Amino acid sequence: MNLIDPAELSGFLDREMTEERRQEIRQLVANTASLREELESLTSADSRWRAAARSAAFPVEIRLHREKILAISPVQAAVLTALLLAIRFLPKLVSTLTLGLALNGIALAIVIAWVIAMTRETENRMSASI
Amino acid sequence: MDAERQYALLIEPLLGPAAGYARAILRDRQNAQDAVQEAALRGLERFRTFDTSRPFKGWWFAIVRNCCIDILRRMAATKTERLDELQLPQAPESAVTDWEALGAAMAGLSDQHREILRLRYFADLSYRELAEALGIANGTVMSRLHLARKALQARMGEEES
Repeated sequence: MNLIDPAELSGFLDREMTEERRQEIRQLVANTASLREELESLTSADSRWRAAARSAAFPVEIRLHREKILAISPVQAAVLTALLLAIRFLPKLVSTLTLGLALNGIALAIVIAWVIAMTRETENRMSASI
Repeated sequence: MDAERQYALLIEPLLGPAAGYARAILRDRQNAQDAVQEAALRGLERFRTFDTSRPFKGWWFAIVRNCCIDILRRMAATKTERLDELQLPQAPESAVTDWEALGAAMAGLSDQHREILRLRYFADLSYRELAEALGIANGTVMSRLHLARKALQARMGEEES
């Protein structure tokens, strides 16, 4: 092919084309002053920009584990919440209701606390994803 | 080799360029470091489902870019909340470095041109990696990059003159 798409000068500069096409472009550039000037201008700008961009890099140290937001596990959170509720309300319940009902209440509190803890955990995971 | 170890080995050589790339977007070293840190974690979370036939570098820099965008959004929200602070005089900046001048010139270009140039120069992505990071066809990369270069040359020419 004797014609050249101007964008191919970028491909040539970046070595992002087949060797065969590079050879063709090399010949076209050698025979055409305007193409030669264009390529020289691109090459010069490219090397300046490359050097400038390289100076922006700096060393970074990373960790591959997220800091835990919850200091206690969901199970611990659920049990602790249930215990606090039991301490607060059990005396009143025993005097007025049967012990069975009170135990059901505690079980319900454990389930609610568990759901809350799991929800927080899920939110943490969601905020960690893109 | 476990996935975490494999991932760590893959990103290790990319951290410096990623920091430079994030710095070009965010114009702040600390924010750039935070963006790279967040990208490293997000990448690890997604690495198990990563399709190994795709270029890893392009894939990972797309994550870095998203992390930078998130930080820019947070910064914009914070600025909106603190209007009073916006009216305060800015602290004098240190001497403008080469990369800052380059970044400033890129900032004046269209979104498409700015993005492809940042990824090409600051992140040093190949055409295949650029296609992956930008979600465009391989064939589009060369023409877009060429137009972006011409636009940047014109922009820098204007600034110099």
